[in-house]
Amino acid sequence: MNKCCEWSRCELLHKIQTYDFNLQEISLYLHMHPCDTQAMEYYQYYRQLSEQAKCEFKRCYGPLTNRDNQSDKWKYIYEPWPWEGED
Amino acid sequence: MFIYEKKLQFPVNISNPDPKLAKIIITQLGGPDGELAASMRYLNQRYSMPVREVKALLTDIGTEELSHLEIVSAIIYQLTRNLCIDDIKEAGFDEYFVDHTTGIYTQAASGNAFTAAYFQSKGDPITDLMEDMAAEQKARTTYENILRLTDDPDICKPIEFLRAREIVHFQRFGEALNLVRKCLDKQNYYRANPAFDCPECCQRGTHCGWEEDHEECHEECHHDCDTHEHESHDCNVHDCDCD
Repeated sequence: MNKCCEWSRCELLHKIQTYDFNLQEISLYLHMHPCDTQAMEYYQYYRQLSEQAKCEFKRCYGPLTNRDNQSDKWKYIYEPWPWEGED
Repeated sequence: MFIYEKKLQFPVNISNPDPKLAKIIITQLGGPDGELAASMRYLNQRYSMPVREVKALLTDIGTEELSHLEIVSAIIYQLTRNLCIDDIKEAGFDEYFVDHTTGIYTQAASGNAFTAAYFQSKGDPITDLMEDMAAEQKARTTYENILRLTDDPDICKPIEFLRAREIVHFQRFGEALNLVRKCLDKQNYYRANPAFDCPECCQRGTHCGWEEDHEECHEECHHDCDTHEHESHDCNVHDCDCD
């Protein structure tokens, strides 16, 4: 648990995984059905959730990609790597 | 995980189609020293790499190679646009055309289809990094040979960019090899394979002799960076501490 976040790293990452999977799924659908307004609303809803969760993750637990290292120290290499499994 | 960005790493805008040259350049897509082999090599090797800096390096260079794959594909696509059958026959592109029309297929200039036999993932950090450095040099030579075969600036510019990236990757892998060596027994690098002989302690960050050496070597490297604060080009692996 990190003092700046109500979610543990693992919990917050799980939320991001869920939101991003929803975005992936609806993106595939929207490629083929670009005028479906209900699908578009679903996309926007999860895009916002994903952005918020990622913003919080980066602030509290470090970068998710090598383009969003917000600290003045290079934190990217220190985070656990996803293939190592959860603690 | 991976996500696509709708842009090329370096722009490709070719005015004059040249199917003969496309058949040559395709070797950097699916040939023995091509970008697909490069990407698969690094993205496969990273799992057994016990040093965090080098895990990051293999991940991000392996990812960059996918962007290079896209640049080479864009070059081949643009070189084979708007062709008539006479152009195809005249350029000797008919052998490719019969199997793939003008679709992009991962093959060598010889026509041999891509094979995973073009790269290794040996599960030994020193062995893998030695292969990686050699691979970058082989790709550089291939890009230089391509530059000998054309003087069209529209083609040369992206090829020169790709050639330059091979040199940068070689440099970073050289630094990675030095770091791995520092983390191992300095008297005998080959005493143990840290990816296999003590995988639990080495990969999970708990203590063993190797991991302690690792931490010491980090302190040593960081100290080097502090000492050379104004020569940051010489210690790029730890740029963070040089800033």
